[in-house]
Amino acid sequence: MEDIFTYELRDFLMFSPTTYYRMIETYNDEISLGVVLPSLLLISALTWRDFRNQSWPLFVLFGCVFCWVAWQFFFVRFQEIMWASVYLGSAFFAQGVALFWLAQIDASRDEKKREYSNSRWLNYSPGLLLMFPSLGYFGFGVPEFFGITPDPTIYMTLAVLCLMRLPVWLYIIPVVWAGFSWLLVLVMEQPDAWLWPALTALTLIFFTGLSRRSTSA
Amino acid sequence: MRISRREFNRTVTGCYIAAQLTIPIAASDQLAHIKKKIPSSSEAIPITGLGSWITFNIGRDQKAQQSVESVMRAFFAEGGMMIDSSPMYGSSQSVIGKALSKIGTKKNLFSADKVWTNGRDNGVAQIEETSARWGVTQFDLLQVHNLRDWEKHLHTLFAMKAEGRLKYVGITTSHGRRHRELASIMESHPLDFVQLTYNMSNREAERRVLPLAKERGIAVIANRPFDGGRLIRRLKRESFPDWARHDGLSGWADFVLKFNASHEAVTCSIPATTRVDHVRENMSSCRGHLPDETTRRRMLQYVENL
Repeated sequence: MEDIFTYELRDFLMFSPTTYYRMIETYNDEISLGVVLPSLLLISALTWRDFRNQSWPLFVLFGCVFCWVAWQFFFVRFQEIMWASVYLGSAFFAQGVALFWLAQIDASRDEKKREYSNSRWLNYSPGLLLMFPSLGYFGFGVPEFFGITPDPTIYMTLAVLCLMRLPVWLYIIPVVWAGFSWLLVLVMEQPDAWLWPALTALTLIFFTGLSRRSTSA
Repeated sequence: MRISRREFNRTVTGCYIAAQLTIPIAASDQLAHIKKKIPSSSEAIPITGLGSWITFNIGRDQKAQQSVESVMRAFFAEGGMMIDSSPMYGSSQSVIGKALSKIGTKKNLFSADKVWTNGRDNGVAQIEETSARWGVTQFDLLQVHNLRDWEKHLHTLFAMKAEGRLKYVGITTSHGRRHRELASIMESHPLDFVQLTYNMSNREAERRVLPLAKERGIAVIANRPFDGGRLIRRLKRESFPDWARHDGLSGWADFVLKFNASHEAVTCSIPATTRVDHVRENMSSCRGHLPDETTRRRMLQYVENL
């Protein structure tokens, strides 16, 4: 039993950084222009004229996105190099189902009793959509896109959760993935490992702050 | 000096015959391998094999698959035999299988894999799946990975051996862990192989397990010979000592692998790599001669003082 304490995090890394990033590059190549489709759909949902009174389309979109990432990233691709991927994929799938459930509740709710505080700042959150592909092009890993790979998906989700002040339990899976993702780059000895916890903290602080400002305004 | 046509012809013919005799000798010298015998059968295998942890877990990446094929081609061309994998290593088994089908399964392949699951039935099913992934009908060696549910799987493996469906049975551990439990299994079961971590930075196995393997006639596979790359990276920052070169060692990989193989209980080491030049470097350890005890002590002292 004392052997457990002799394990280092790197002992659990089953693949090389090259393999991990090549997997994402190949995935992007296979989907081609489709990598920007979830981002375009999100921008459409956020600029929807009736958006302030209809949150369910956003929940449906995020639900689809989580299920897609669970299926295409975790079950189809990551599973090939990491057997534990099935558990991570299941968590993403569960988050997707939870978001569909939220959409169903929202759609059937009387408008006057709406609990979610929609914020005008939501319209600015797509800045995150551009940030992730840009990070990749500037040498931090490889270009990653919202709705295609987990990292950009969960940071965008965290922003929306903060801005809409959604229930705390919805944060669990995105925050757990953010932690896992940080450990992954740390164990892969990537020089940008410091970026990920900083980004998680910044996203949570920044968008929670914007949400409060919006309420007090 | 004048040379007649007859003398010229005789000289040229003589040179040609001499060359014909020397080339095969030189070529065989180039591939002459230091081999060690598996105590339970006396079958000899080269002291360096090929591991697949991390390096062959490449998923569906076609470019990386081609590079694995090149590594395996070079390995066989250098006279390599043992390739080791595990169901725990992600896509490694399928990658090896694809490479073998592409380059043709070599008759000198020594296939080594593992069982890594709970329960007898799951173990049997996993072995069948592993065979399908490799594209081989019979493994040379199957090992219980990290002692996982070892009682049930050893029962299966010994039964397979008795039926002639498996040549050797083994058990593995890594990072110097669970040696007490490993030793107790070695004492109570007729194992052919044990696999454990042994290198110049991690010599825990010397205390109990290696002497026991020698005593019980169990072959030893040393995994992580380069300590997951840390040892070789550290050594490659240093200049290679002249005395080592005079002792016939060609470089740091040769130095580290020959150190391992010169332990009387160690049969072979299984470094993993994605690079053809590295596999060639590793296989150079199978040429020349193994260091004697004095040189071995000197090698160790040198590395410890770095």
